[in-house]
Amino acid sequence: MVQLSDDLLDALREVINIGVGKAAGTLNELLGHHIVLEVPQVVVLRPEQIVNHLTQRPYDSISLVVLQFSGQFSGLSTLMFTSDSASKLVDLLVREETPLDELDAIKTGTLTEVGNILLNAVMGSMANLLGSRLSYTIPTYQEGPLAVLLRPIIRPESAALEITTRFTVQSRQITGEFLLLFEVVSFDAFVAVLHTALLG
Amino acid sequence: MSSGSDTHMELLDALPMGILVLSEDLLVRQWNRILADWTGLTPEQVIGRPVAQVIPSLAEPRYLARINPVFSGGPPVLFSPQLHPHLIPCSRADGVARIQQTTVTPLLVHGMNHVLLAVQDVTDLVLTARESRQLHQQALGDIQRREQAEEALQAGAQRLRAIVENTVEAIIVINQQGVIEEFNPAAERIFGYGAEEVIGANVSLLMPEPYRSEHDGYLQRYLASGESHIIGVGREVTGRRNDGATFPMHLAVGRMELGDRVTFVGVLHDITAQKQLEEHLRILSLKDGLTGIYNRRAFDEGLEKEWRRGRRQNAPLSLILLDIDFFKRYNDTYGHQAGDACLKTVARKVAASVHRPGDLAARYGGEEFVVLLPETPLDEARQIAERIRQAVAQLAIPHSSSGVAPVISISLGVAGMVPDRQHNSEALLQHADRALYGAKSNGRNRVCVTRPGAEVTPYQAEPDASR
Repeated sequence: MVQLSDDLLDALREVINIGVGKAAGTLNELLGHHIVLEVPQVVVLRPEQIVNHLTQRPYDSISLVVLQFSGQFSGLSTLMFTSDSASKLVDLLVREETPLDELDAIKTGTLTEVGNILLNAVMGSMANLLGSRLSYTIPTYQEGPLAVLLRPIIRPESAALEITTRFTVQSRQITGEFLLLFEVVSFDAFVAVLHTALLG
Repeated sequence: MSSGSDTHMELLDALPMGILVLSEDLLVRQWNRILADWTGLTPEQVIGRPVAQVIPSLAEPRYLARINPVFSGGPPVLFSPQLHPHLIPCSRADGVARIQQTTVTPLLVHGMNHVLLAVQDVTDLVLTARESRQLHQQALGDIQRREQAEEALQAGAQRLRAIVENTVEAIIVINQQGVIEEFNPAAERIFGYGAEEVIGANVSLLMPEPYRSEHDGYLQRYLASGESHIIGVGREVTGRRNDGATFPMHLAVGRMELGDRVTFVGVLHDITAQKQLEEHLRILSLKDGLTGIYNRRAFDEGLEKEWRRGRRQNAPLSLILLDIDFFKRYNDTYGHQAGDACLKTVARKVAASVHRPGDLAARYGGEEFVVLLPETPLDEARQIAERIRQAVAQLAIPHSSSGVAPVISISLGVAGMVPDRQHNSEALLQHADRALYGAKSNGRNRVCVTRPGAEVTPYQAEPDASR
């Protein structure tokens, strides 16, 4: 697995920031409130780190929106919300009371669309930058303990980019985490494309 | 893809969802039968026209900003039924606005970028979900409210029970037949019965005759006519204890309806002590503090009462007004304590000289006393006055500075008349006062009488005078 230099990491952070910023604009409009976004944190996870790092979370249950992509490099783009953040988001977007522990139509629909907006923005700005044309599936929504949700997705040879971003809406803090999962081959290809695109 | 491709059209028309294809210049390229059904716009009317004219809302920046990247192969865009329920505004035949879920995916047609909007009608799903959620919430709310109400009821019942058990008021519940259903500990204390002895018995058990036999009648009359001599208002009645003793009690009765059952709740307390106290206070208020005989207030009341009675019964009423001779000198000589002792002794003697019912001896003020004698003609009153004079003289209280005797003596004025409408009781008092004045000016230590319209006449002592 190739290394991601600090320069590349900075550049990647910049690209992701642009994507998240776009998504924030869309969400602003949806929510009717101003969203404050923090600069995303980007961490590269090696195959041996992924499971430990991701499945040792304290969260009982998470909401997960998954977008599969394929092309020059393939993988999964996922957006995770803690159930707390998910509920806050749904509360803000849908002015109906939503039971916290109930996976119902409202929550699924709302979070899928929010995930769609955020994932599209991030993937879109990344694909633009890289000049890659990727194919995508239609996003899916899952809910449950992280380890259970990720186990079928993560392979021993997976590498991941973990992107954490926090946004605050009306003094409510909502945290969303992106996780870009690649297979190592794909990750190397991704880094190569990134290198070419950013550093010439 | 061309609009002329019948195979494609058939396929699109067969899909159970609305299908809209837009080219990158935002012209409508496909419009299937479902969309035509929903909107009433035929493919001929819309194909080739800008989407902004066909569905203006869809051309708004908030939608286009998300749809545009899809043309160039960006990830599919979802418009959820929760956040964008009416992307393509249209209603069902029943007037309900269709709730839609729309997916926007890229579509290459002859190497040209297009987007395909697949619109699913999820109205029933969403409405059903919403309804079931509302029902669920409502059911939860109902359960919660019922639980709260039950808790409150239970807490209320417990509190009520504690109040009934611990109050000092006796609480007795009876039914329409007068049968006792509840008998609280205070009632047990007051009546001397255990609850188990009286529950099931008729409440008249707790009443002395004649109330006992009247009670059932009251109940029946109340139930029949709603007329009540006791419901709602408190009043004083007489109760009967287990040992047969009667006692005054204050009783308030409330009517309570449970379903079609009427019960009566009686709240009562023993007012024996209160009554005794009231009587004590009443008597105190009529007694002279120093001498212990009646005071002027008692006399005034008695005079009024006897005046009216005498007038009604055409019976003579007499009055003796008396005064200790040279009492000021006595005080000066023997001191005020001796003066007070003298007043007490004389008062007791005066009071002891009358004993018929209705006779009333009172301290009128200072060293002046008054004796009221109902149904007593003037002559008889004069004799009584003379007896009082002698009795006081026989006390033999030394009075060295008296101008008339070596002992305490009194002067008495007697007046009597049959009360009539031409006079009031004041007239009788004035006559007595004139007679007293006569006794004093005629040398004191004597009785004088006066009749209405007559001169004051001194009365000569008759040693053997008797009533």
